[in-house]
Amino acid sequence: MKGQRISSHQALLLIVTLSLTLVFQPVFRELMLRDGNGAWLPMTAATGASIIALAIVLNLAQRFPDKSLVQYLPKVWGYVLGYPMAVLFLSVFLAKATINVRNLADFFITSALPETPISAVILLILILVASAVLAGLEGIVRFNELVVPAVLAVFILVGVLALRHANPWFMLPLFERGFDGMLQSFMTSSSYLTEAVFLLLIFPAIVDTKGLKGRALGLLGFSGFIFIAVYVSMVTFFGATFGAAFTWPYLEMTRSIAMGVERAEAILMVFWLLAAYVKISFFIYLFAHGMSQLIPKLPAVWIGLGVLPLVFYLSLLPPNVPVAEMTHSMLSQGALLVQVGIPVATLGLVILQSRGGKRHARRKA
Amino acid sequence: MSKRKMKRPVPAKEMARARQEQQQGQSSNPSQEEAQALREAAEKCLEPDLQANLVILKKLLGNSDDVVFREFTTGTANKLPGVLIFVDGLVDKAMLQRDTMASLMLWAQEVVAPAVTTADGIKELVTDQLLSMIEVKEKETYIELVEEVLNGEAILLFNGLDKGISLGVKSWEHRGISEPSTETVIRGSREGFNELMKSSIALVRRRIKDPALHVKFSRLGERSFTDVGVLHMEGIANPALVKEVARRLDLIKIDAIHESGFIEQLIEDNPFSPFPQVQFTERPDRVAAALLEGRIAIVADGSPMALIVPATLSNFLPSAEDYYERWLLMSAIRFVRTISLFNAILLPAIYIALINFHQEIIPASLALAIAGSRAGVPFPAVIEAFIMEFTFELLREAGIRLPAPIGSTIGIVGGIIIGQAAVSAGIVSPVMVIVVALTAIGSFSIPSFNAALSIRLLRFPLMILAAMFGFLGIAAGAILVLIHLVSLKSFGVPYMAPLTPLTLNGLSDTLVRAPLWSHSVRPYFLRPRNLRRSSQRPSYYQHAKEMHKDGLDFAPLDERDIKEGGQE
Repeated sequence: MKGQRISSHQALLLIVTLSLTLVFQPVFRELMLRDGNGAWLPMTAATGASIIALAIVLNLAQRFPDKSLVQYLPKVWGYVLGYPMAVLFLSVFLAKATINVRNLADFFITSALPETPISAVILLILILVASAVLAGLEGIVRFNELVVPAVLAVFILVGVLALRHANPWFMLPLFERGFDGMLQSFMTSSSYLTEAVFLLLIFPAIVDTKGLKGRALGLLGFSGFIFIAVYVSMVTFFGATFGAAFTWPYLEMTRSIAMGVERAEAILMVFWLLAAYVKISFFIYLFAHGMSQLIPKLPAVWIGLGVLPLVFYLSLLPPNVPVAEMTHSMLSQGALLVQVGIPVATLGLVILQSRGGKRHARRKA
Repeated sequence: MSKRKMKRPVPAKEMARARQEQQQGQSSNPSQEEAQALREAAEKCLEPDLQANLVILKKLLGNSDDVVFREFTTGTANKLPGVLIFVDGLVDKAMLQRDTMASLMLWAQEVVAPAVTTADGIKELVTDQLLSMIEVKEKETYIELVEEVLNGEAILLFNGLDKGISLGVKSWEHRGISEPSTETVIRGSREGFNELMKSSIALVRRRIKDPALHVKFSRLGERSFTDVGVLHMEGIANPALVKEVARRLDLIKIDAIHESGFIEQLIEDNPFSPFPQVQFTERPDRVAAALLEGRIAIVADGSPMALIVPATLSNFLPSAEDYYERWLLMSAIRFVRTISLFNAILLPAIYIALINFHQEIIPASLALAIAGSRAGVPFPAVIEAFIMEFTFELLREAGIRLPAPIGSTIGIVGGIIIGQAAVSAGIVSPVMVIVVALTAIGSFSIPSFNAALSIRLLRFPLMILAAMFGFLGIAAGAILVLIHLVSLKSFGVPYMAPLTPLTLNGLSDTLVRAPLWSHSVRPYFLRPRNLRRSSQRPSYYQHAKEMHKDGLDFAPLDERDIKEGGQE
């Protein structure tokens, strides 16, 4: 984070952006298939749990204000455990970025560019990502600051227009599919919302950390609200059974809303792309920057650019949309354990070490 | 079998080059040594011997015919020999004759001057008693004297005096103050800078009569010695910024500065960016306003364009007039200008995307009309757009280079006749002509020439991306442009400020131009030393209260009042 300084306001806006990118990910279909119209309950629980989890892990950042998580992991756990844990933590972001590249490419090909080869679309996305990696953290957060109001405005516009077609009765009967799949839905939802732990990686670059925790938790709550609101708007628009028939129900909902122009979703997709671009670029930047902290002589830009061919290859691996969807689902649940587990365990160990240290000092005295 | 050793012939070119180098080496060595000796001598201080000084100065000034060496003697007591040196055409000869030569040769004979022999005595006699010039400076080294002479000053040397006396008699022909041609306004000052640096600085000083306005002079260009003035408001501009500007100017290593554009290109942060990072203007009111915001102006001699740093994107969109008219109207015009900016960048690309990829967005009747108009056109939309845009750029370039009366003719011939002929011939569709015309009008509405130029260039890659990926391509292009813009800085200030990083007080002068009383604080992103523009913080309520408190308010008139008023 050498030379890169950002404000807490810029850092926290990223939390909002992450929630706005759910449109092009197949998460809503997954939730509708599993829990029908009752997924709002695990989503609400996930929002609460994510706020608690973030509150806990931000304590860790406050204990090491000048270092990022990957810098203090080896010191807390020792080099043998700390380095692999740091690499694993960073790899989660790389993996999420990779599957998001694939989701975004599928999204565009299915909705607007059926004749364009997927490799061309992925290549275009990665060229854009390369420009963000070159711009660095300051560039990414400033870009995000610029686009968030526009993307948010588009969401509000779609939400308001969808209200005309909303049928609240689709929310009944309550929990039509029972409670069996709710744990999985809780984990899926939590996986998205706890992506906010990225703050542990950029904490040293934030200039004004006073009051950051409170605002971060508030914005995470707001992100959860957007997440739930989008889901509920889709369920009331289509009904859970019909909505689950679409890979991207939000896209179909936008298509079905009369906006005065036919196929207006093609224009709105431009705004969704902006949010998706921020997320993918930011995650790849986090990986590159974290790795450069682990391997000090390797600049983040080189790592970021060097990893792009791998992302290209991996994102082309799923042969079709269903396989990509399945990969996405599995990854998001698995990622939860890493992105929350590692910081929480580290905080626990840090607390233990500090207590042990005090007792040891007292005994010595 | 042993290999036969080939003797390779020396190529004729190599031989010729070697011979040339040998000849040059033989002939140039002594001259190089001489030049080196002269350079060393130039750095030395003057000697008391006038003839020795003259020999060195004649060598340094290169025996040019326009350099005048006027030898004379002054005083009756010891007939002190002296010489006056100046470049013909750069000095005010009448002033030299009246205030220097007359004093030294005529007046000095009338008074009984003492016989002075010491350096101090000569200096005192000449500068304190004989010369009636206002601007008199002492110079000690030969190089300083040469610089003074070439800059239009006259030099006086006397036998026995180991210093030169520089006389401020600079005067040359120059253009008068005229209306700025690139920033015309309906309401506002008609004064523009000219090529004379001091005159330009005076125009600024006339607008800011504050001792805090500081001007620092320097000379740039190893051969041109161009005078450059750096202006800032002490106590407002950030000292770090002032220091940074001075540092960057010091780093300039170039033989000549012919125009302030040279300085701009040598001090800007990112020379590979298509976007201008230094603002230029020929309006003194704009420079004054920028200085009061905490920015810094650079004025170069020989250029009517002053540079203003730091410059953010929002500085290139307003016109000077925006501040002289009422805020509501000018905000509306700014909004129109912003729309036209997007027009200028995106319209051809959107047209291509619609025609190639997203036909379903176009209303059915319009789609049919467009399809009908394109029926005879043999090229795809992207080629059609490129032909028209290229033709338009050609016409614009031709119009600028030609004299003004013919330039407008070219516009009419190109715009109407060629456009109509191209449509009739079926080379382009009428819709494309409309698109290109709207794009051109959009780019003309941007007040800043260099920003408009960047925008004109940007639409070509966007057109290619639109032809390849439709709206996705346009979005990709826009992302590349935006990510470049947000990572750009001008003298440490983010280029997209105050939009990002978000500075709320700066927003009052971006997309809208808020009322003047709301501009009470200088933009934070410039980190000014003094945030408040005035001692009191005006607000609308305070402004309204003070305006209407005990204010003049005529009661409704009745007939009697009118009669009484008439009688009075």
